[in-house]
Amino acid sequence: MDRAAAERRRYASVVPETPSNLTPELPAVPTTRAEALSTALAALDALAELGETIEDEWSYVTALAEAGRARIRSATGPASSAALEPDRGVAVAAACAEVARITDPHRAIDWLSTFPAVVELALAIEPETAAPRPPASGGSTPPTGA
Amino acid sequence: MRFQDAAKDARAVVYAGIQADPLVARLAALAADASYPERLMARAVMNGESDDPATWRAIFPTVLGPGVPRREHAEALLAASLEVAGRGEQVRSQVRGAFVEELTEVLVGRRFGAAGRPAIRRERRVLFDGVAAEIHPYDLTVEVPARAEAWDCKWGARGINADVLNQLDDARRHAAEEESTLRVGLAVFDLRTSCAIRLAQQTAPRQGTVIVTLETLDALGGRKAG
Repeated sequence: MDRAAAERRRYASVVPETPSNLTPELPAVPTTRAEALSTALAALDALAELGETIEDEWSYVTALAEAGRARIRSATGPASSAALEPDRGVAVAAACAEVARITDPHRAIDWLSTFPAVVELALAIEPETAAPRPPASGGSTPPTGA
Repeated sequence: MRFQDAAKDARAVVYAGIQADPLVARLAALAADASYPERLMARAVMNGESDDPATWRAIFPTVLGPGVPRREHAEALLAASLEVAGRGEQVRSQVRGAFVEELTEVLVGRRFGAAGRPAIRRERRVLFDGVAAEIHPYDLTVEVPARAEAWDCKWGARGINADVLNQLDDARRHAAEEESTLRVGLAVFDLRTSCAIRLAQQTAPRQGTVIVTLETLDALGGRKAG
């Protein structure tokens, strides 16, 4: 059994293969950072496409997706064949499978905000340093702290 | 500047029932003591589709994995978050809103201590001489002379809009006109990047409004984000 097959088997042992939580879109468990990047970006694009159906939120969704792609790229680092720890690959695949279940566009927008940070956490990059600046389309980064 | 209870309309009466749900208080207490990764997990679960805890343990190995410090706390937060997710769509939204308010109250309460707790109020209006009262009450007010605060609480960055920003800024300005101090802010259980993007698309004044996000919630309690 090759490594990818072993990881898929491991994933299946973590997430029971029942119709309620397994979709045909379930991605293969990424075994490298490059695979994690492409898997996560595909999931993000699907979320953005769903969220864009809310016309009033189109510009917000577009900007959020752009920032999300940058955050995921930053979290995965230079896309390479560098191996991913098995549980991290499972985490990315499981997160992608979760967002693939989203059918409500409002919830998709909520996930568009959360998903890149979930991927970032799965790949264990410190969030404070990995978060990219938002698009410079006016306004300022909000003040933080109370 | 003075504070006043908001009139109880039908919506407020129904929502008061949601606010009083023991799940809201339990979840807020757990989230108040949570780290940023734990809070991110809670946000994902409360917005998720899966009701199987194993799925979330797979997604968050650094929070819920074997051997992780404070795993028991994270598991309790997961269980409470799944309870919220298990509610019907409309109730889920209401519970999430009430949760963010309760969490804000718990954290702000830490800054003022036990003696200051009675001065932390919910659903209150702020009145100024010669100024028409706002229709919507503030989610949370701190009614301490010279240290007064007014907070609105949001589950997501999408809740940030011109009405909310204008109301907060108007209150701050009116207080200043009366030579009073009123600190105004938004506590948002969403990510800083999303809030920044949302704010960048608003033209309403926001320079005097503090924005606290998922990463910096502990600042409400007077602590730097951990």
